[in-house]
Amino acid sequence: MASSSTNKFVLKSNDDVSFEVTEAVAREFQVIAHIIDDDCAKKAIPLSNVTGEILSKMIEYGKKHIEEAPVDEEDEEGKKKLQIWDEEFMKQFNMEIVFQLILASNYLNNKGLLDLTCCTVADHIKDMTPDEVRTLFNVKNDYTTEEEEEIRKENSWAFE
Amino acid sequence: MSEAKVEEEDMISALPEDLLVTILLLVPIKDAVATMVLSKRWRFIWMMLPRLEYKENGDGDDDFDDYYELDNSKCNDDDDDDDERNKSIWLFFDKSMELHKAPLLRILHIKLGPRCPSDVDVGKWVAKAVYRGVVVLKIKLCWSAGPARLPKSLYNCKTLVQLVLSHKILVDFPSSSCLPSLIILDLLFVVYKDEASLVRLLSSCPVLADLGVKRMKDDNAYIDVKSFPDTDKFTTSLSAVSSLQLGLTDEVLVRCSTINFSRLIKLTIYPDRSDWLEPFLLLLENAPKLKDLLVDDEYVIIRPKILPLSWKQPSSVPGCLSSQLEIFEWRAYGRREVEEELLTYILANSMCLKTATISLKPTFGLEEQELIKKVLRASSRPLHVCIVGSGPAGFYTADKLLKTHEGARARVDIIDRLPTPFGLVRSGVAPDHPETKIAINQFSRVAQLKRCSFYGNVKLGSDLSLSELRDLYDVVVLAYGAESDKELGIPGERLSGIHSAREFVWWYNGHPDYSSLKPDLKRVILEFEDISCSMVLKAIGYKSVPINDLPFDHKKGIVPNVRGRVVSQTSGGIPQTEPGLYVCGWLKRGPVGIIATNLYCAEETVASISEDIEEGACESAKAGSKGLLQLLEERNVKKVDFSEWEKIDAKEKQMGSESNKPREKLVTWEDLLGEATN
Repeated sequence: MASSSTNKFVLKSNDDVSFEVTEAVAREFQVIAHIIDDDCAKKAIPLSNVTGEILSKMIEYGKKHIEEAPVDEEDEEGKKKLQIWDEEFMKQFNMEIVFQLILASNYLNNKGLLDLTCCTVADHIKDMTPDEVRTLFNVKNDYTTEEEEEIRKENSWAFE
Repeated sequence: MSEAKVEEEDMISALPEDLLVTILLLVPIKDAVATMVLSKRWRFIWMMLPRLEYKENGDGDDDFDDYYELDNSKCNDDDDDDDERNKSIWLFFDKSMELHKAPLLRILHIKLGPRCPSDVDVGKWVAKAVYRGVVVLKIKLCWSAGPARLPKSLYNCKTLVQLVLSHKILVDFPSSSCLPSLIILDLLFVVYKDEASLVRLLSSCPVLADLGVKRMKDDNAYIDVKSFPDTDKFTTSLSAVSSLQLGLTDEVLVRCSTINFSRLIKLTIYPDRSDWLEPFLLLLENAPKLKDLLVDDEYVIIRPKILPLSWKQPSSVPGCLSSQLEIFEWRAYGRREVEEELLTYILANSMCLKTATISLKPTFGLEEQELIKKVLRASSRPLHVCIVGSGPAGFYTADKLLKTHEGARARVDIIDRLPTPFGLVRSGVAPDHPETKIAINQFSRVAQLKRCSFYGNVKLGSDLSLSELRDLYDVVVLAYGAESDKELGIPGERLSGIHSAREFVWWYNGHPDYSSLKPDLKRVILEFEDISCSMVLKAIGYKSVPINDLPFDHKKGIVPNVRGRVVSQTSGGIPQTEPGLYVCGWLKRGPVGIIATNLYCAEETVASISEDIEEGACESAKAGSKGLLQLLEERNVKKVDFSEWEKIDAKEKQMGSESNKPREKLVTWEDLLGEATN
């Protein structure tokens, strides 16, 4: 069996964009790793829930984390470098893409990217009033004014 | 995210519940709870969080883990600030715990400060967490009320893996308690109902691997267990612990120093106000498997400025240092003289040490920090010393050196061209002098020290050169004495049959170079008489032999030196000392004096070595013994180490006893080397 750095797989998005990746990068996504382990990865691996645009970003993330993986637990410098890269990586996306990345990384099971994308969203909830959160994420408020007031009154401890 | 823009679609609410929970786990609990008013979809999401962390308003954001710190000021602070933000978290905690409905509550952290009302019931929420299968529970109570009693169900929680109880919590273990999954337990400044309850607690945790205990002493607000009367039981519980954190008050420390921590691998100690060094060393002696040691001085509560600290070097190095310890850290190292001694001792004797981290108290200035760093750098690696010549000068030098401050990290190798040690004590002093025996006993003790090795049958000049030796060792001390003779300068002096008194003495003392001398003793007559005989002896004195690369004063027959430091001349004729190269004994001062003269001679040379090291000499890392042995092996030199010498020694004594003599020496190279490798 070829080593994971030379063995190649083709990932195919739901809009028919194909990406050839090394086995190591493919294995960054747990679901794909399982497919490879089950030996079902003869040809292209179709990913029905991910668009080409999102998949290309995920592969970029996966590659970076393979290439620049910290040497060991104590490689603080390596970790820091990767963290800075992560921050820059996320800056290029609007919220819509961020949510697509959350869903896709959840679907393909990449914990690192899921944490990173969820953190980006969490940062927009942190220290915000509910009104600000609603505006930022376009949350549709389906409470009536009375209902909302009732909840706020009932749970006044939570809004002090 | 400057480009974030409002999207038409409500994408966040479209996420599945588990992803919303994942996101809310990443925001502070207050913000998470507030999402209940966003929309109907959000009403109950926060209630599913499997991890709840509460802390008082106004507490720092990033130090959520300060359970381990003593919170003295806050505990006694009667805060009457009416600021909204300064209201206690209690109401929020109470209400949200009431509404929380996730089937599993894995992690609960709660810190209540002095503003918390004193009549509240924390216990019921602890009971709820236990009921929901809590795995990690951390509680810190710093209120003004008395210590809280926690529900009994906590002490029978099957899921609990980590429990941290901090400050005003009454540890009251029911006798029926059992925590079958508990691995990590920290009891930090808590209050113990009685001594037995702590013992019960420890003995009801079958898989406990990491125990942290910090206690307060002399503080009226807290009851402290003064001793553990049921030592046996306590000992049994602690013997099984593989990781331990200890806040060291006198009682804990003294008690622990008598416990055999046979499985302890990781130890953290927080030296408190006590004179902790000595019991700490005892503790090390009782922890033979210790691999990871942290001395944390960061949170010392109140330590009087001048507290008597003392320790003395134990007679043998604790086993964990010589064969186990890999990681050593000293946080907020204070650089007191005794501490520096202890630090040097630990670093010098930890043979397996992989990392040593020393951080200084922040009160030190930059300049001082640099100075300490330099000292630590030097003391953190062994000082490799090679002494050439194993006569009295060599052995006294080794002995003195190993006893000095710098010597604590010294590894001394003594090499000799003969397979046997002790130089003239063996081959130059008449065998009927009993004081030689005393010297030999003394030297043998030095040679048997772990940090000292003897390698006989290694010839400087032919097996390896002086410059090679200096490359291998930080310090080279030449103490090979005088192995040649002064010359009379008369014709025929070098004819065969004419021998020096030295040669004769060496012969009758069984020196292997002269086993073939075989003089006719009836005809031994001194010089200047024209008689016919087969052997003439001249007795006008010993002389040292120069070797390559070594400055030598041929007139005096010594190596030019200043208080033992070898002095050479530059090409311009300017005298300069040779770094790391020293002499001792006859090579230093000429062939005069008795055995004991070497004692003072060695002291002087060792003092010079110490001074040079203190001034920053010997900064680069050398290979030492390892390098020497490798070189000897490459060159197929069969060294004779001290245990092999002991075989020779035993053989000679045995042969002697057969003929009623103290010993019968083996006198040929073949016999000596043969017996050594036998």
